[in-house]
Amino acid sequence: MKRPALIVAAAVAVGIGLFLSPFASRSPDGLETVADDHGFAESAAERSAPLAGYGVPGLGGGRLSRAVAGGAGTAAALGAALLVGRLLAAKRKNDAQEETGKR
Amino acid sequence: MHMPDGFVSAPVIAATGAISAAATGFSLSRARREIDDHAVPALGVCTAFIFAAQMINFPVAGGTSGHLIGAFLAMLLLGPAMGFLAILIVTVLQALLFADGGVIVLGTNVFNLGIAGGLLPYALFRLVVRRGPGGRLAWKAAFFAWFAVVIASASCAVELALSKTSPAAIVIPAMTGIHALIGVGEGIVTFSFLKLIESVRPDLLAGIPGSAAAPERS
Repeated sequence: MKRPALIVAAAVAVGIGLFLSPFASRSPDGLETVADDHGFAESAAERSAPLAGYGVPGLGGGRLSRAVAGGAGTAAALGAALLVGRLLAAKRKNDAQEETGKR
Repeated sequence: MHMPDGFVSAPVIAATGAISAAATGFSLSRARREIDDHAVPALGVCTAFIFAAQMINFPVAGGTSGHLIGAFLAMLLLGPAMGFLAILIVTVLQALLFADGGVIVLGTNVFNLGIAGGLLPYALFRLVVRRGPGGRLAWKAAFFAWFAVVIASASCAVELALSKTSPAAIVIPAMTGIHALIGVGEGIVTFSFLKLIESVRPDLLAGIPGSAAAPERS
């Protein structure tokens, strides 16, 4: 893919995280429903995380909070994957250079 | 179907965690051989899409919601190694930043979403397109995308049963039943996405076994 197309695609992904996630269904998911219905929901350990439950502390539990968390999370996923990809690609080049060095 | 800590027992965590660790090692070493500067942004964009898509819960029957997994589609587009890394990165971020899925059970969640719901359906899909009659790529992919969700939920249910959290006779039909509905969403999105790409940028599908753009295999 060409660079502009990739930038547009990345922007669309972050846009989904930012603008669509606030309107996603808040109903329990499949596993949560099964856990509620069959009485093992309380086995779940309570845990804290910086943006637990896709909300930003201080912004409450509303749509704005979810939008910021969604946008930040999508950007973080993009950044983390680019970092991993770059490290792997750099290692590949290193390997290739070592190979030619040996010959 | 990200599991929180507390649902599965230590032996289940150890076994699934070991398999996930092995798959991670395999994917890293294979991706290291495959990746080029061209593939890096594709990995980034695909991972971002999986994260965003997993936030978009859609309502299904009876006050329950579901969201895409995306692992199977990522593997179709990026190949199994980089597709696995994409779902791995998403699952790690969800657990660490959002408390969506436990940290102790991270390996179990990666097993359910990336192996049961990713590598396994991808391997079966590849077998079917290579051995079976050609054509109808998007239909086949849609079926295996649905199957990926169901098999991931079955894996989750078996782990819950093995952990004695819920009896097998209850949790397996309950989990696979609701996810057979949720998986329809995965099938529709996978189908529509492949049809769209097929019409605008068929070259992007060259990596998919059985696609019209894929190199002929003898």
